[in-house]
Order: sequence, then structure tokens, then C-alpha cells
Amino acid sequence: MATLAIDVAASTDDAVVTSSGGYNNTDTVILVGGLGTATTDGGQGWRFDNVTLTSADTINTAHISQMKSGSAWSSIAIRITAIDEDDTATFSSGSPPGARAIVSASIGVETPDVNRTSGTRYNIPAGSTPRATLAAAITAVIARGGWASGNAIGIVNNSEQDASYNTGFARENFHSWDSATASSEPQLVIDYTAGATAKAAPSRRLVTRQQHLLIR
Amino acid sequence: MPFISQTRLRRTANLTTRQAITPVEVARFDGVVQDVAEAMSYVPPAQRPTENRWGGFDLVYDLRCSIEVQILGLARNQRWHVLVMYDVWLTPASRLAGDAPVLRESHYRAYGRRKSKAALLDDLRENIRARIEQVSLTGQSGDLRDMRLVALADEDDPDGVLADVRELELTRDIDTATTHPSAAPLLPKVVQ
Repeated sequence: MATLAIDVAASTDDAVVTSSGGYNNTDTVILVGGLGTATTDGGQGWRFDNVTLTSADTINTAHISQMKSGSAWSSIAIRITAIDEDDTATFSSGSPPGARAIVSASIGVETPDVNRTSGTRYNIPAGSTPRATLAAAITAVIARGGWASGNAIGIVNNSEQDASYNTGFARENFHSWDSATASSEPQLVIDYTAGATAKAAPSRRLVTRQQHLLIR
Repeated sequence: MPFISQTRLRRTANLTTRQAITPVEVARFDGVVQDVAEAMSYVPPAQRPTENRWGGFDLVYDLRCSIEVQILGLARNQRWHVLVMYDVWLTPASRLAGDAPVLRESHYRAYGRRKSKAALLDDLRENIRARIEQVSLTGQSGDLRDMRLVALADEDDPDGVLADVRELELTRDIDTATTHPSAAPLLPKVVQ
């Protein structure tokens, strides 16, 4: 397996709809998990651009690496999957992460109840089974007919929309893209086995840039 | 698996108040322990906390290996991309002797923001170390590289980041069990 690691790259690429129903993509932290209150479109989302994978690749595991803000020992309600779109657009109040179509056949769930130390990175999900499930969700996205290497993938945790995983306080603060803490951006980590036949193209924007240089 | 020489069990919180503390190493084990539950199974019952308190513990791994990293290149559009491949041997002597690496792996890192050279180095090392841990925990080895990875561009680097990246000293030997020894008791991996 090879690894691909991509940071959230813009303020509008990580966002949350809180239990009060408010949309936010500018706070320096994102509360990951659920509060026990059912919220329409509730949840947290992360968008990762330039995913240089093709349908020929085998996605083995995937997780989001996030830096903890403030030490705390609490459970986190995780119900995580991929947004089922060819090239996920940035988030907005009119189109928050929890309102997007998801890969409903592959939803990774867990509720880890552990101590987390401020400034330390943690993997979400942590367990091997939900990581494999998230990989299956990403596989479904890159198998879409409209997918192309270099497109953006969105990951969403929408535990607040499912009563089974939204039974009480189960959330924690992690740094968002807007955090001033150095190197604290959320990061998507994908372990994959490269396809034997298809060749991964550089991202579309890089191709565009290189072509522009040639023309210039 | 060979790259993990030792597993350390740490208490990271006050088990009564659930408040974070400076981690305290409470036990260590030869080789790999997969998770806190497995580690607790090796702790004598009289000393073992109840299961609802295990969330106040974590595991850290000591790696024993020698790593050589090749930076393939760097490109930039809205972000920076660093492409690396790395070989891992069990010991520096094995690497210097020209033995075949136990693990060959590639890593494609896309950065959302411009990082300092030091932050970039730390980030790459953190990613590579995490990968070696995972490979060890899942019993993999051999050539796992994505050979399709090529440097996307390196001629357009007005800020000199590529030169900075190429200066990174990424070949190094790791033996944290020796360089940062633990005073915690070494427990046998026998279920108690």
C-alpha cells in the first residue's frame, strides 16, 4: 500500500452545523461528534481537493487525522462516510456538509471513550473496521462515472442525524483550518494499493498549469 | 512484526476525575501489543484497572529500523505537494551492507498551507513513522510503493521551497527504546 495524505486547504473546506442549527466554517475549532439533539443537516464535514486516485486503485483504509484542542476524556459519536458527489464543492450555509448526499451503504460507526491530549493528533475513526468502511465509501466515490483523478472528496460525520448514535453528549473540539496553531489542519490519510493498469494523472489544475506554462 | 521493538502502556488521565495528566508509563512489553485491551490482559488482575477506566491509557511504540527517504519532487498549485519514496531496514548495518530493504513505500503529501522547513520535516517524519507503525501492526512488508508517482513539476519554484525540501535530512536510524529508555516494568506477554 502507498499512502496519500491531504490537508484541508481552505476555510470553506471544513464546516459544522451545530445542535442549535447554526452553520459555521470560520471557528478555529470544530466540535466533532454529537450532542444528543437531533439536528436537520447536523454534522461536520471536511473537503479534500486533489485526490489523485482512480477507480483502478484499491482503497484499503482511510481516516481523518485531527489535532485535539484542549485535553479531555470524553466519548465521540462517530458516524462517518463520504459525500456521494463526483467533485465535492466547498461548503456553505446553503449547502452544509450534513445536507449532502452520502454513500449510505458504507457508514463507519464507533464511540471511542478515551482521554485525548491537547496538541496531539488523533485518527477518526480510530478502529480498523470503521476505517475500512470509510475506505469503502471513498471507493464508491471514485467509482462514480463522473470522478476524475484530482477531484475533491468530502467526508462527513453526521451522527447528530441518527438517533442510534446521538444519545447524549459525545463530542470533542479539534482544530479546524482556521486555527492559528501551526500545522494543525485536518488531514485525510488514505492507504491504497495502486491499480496495475490505469495511470494516475496529475491533478487537473496542475495539468492546466503545466499546459499554461507550455503555452507561455 | 520487526519494526516495533517494544510497546509502552501509558496512563494519560486521572482515572477518577477523568482529567488529563502528564503521561506516566506504567508497563512495557517486548514487541507488538495491538491495543490497550490486549495490554491490560497482561497486567496482573490485582493491578489492573476496571475496564471503564481503560480510556485513560494509551500505547506508544518504539521503532527499531533504519530509514532512507528519496524525495521525488515538489509541485505547487493551490497547495504544495511532496512526493517521497522510502526504504526501511531493520538495522543501519543491514542498510549499509546493501541488504534488500524489508519495506519499500511511497508517500504523497499535499499541504494546505506553506509550512516552514522544520514543520515540513516534522510532518513528513510523523507521516512516515505512522505508516511504519501501521505496516508493523498489520503484518505487511515488501514493496508497497505506487510506482506511478512522478514529480509533477520542479522548475517553477520561485520561493525555493524545493531546495529547502531537498535539504531535509530524512535518512536516519530509529531506536527509541535505547535513546529514550523507559523505567516502567517489563511485563511478559502472558494473559493473567
